[in-house]
Amino acid sequence: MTDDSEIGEKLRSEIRRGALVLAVLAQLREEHYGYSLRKSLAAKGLQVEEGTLYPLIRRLEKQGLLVSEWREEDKRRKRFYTLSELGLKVYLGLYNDWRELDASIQQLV
Amino acid sequence: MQLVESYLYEVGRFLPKEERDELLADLRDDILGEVEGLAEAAGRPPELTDEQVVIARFGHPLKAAGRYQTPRALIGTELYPAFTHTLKVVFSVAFFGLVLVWLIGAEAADWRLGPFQLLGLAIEVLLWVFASVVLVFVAIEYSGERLRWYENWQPSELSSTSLGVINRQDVITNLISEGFFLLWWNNVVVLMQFLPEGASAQVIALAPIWETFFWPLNILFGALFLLHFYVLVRGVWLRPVLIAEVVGNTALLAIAAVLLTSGDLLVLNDGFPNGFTSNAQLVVKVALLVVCAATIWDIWLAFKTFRGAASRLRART
Repeated sequence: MTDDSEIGEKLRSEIRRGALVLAVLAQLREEHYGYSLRKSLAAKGLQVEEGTLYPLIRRLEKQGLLVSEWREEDKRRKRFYTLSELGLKVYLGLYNDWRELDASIQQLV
Repeated sequence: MQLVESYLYEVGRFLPKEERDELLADLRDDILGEVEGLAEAAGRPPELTDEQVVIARFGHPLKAAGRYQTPRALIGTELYPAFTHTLKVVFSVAFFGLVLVWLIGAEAADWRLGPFQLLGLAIEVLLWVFASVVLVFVAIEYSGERLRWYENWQPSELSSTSLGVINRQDVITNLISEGFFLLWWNNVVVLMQFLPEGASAQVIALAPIWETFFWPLNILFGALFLLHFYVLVRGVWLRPVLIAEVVGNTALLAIAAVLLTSGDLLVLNDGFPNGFTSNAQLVVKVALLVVCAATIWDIWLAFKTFRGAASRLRART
């Protein structure tokens, strides 16, 4: 890998890291369990590795942005996640920030 | 789902105790969800290959555990568990090497040390080791280099033969006490320099009965020292190793029993008051009894590990 592509890769991953939180919060306005969330993100063009997504969900839950519930589905106990009240507030704030940033960037590029 | 359980077991070794059960339940859910997804996409029930593919994607157990650690400044969460693991292994190797070098030095060049000199030297070496490992891992973190054993890990490397995770503190305590005993027994560490002036090795000495056990104790403690070094590096108990632990400890108990029933264990000259002489004999016997109690405790822990492994196996089948 050349130096410029290495730098590009690092910068891309930084942009994705920030955007991923917003994407996950957006998807969790509806209830999902881990795998279904990953699939739904992938279906909308956002491929996320297991090692990135699952610890992120856990971190967001610890921060109080998500609530979870263990439930049996298809003969297996699964943990379902959805936005908490705080999570919804944070999501709406982030979404507004994102739109403003996007509008500014559109004028800049 | 045996492979998934073996993987979770390995990951659990590196998770903080207080969160272990909860994190493992989450991880099990995540892995099984992925396995089911793969099978569903292929239109068939889940197979072992699905488990292998998913586990390989989650990565080395150290790495999987690392993702749930608190972010750190110098070495990132992904690499941190590999750092602590390497540090433990290198510390063990350094301590093992130190004891070996001192034993050889005592034999070949008549090296003798006081206990505080020994402690000072050991701390100095271990500090150097610590600094070197930290530097190497900081360099790895910031250069973006990857450790091959860490990144290219495959589920086939999972050991299904382990009986249980070691209690690292217990094993380290054993390793240090065995190393210290070997150094003292072979006269590398000289304790007598702490006695009051006039009281020297010539006036307080071990009774002749101890000479009978010079080589048996050297062999036994040498073997236990090697065994605990190996166990510390592996991090788990394997059946043959645990059996060797029980056999070694039983042999130690037998030797202690012979010594305890052999009358006086010290030889003191007439210069000491009567009370001192009998107290000194008593202190050595009490010390031996403490060693016996610790040994019996180790044997009990070994049986508990056997029993725990058997009940886990029953629960899985």
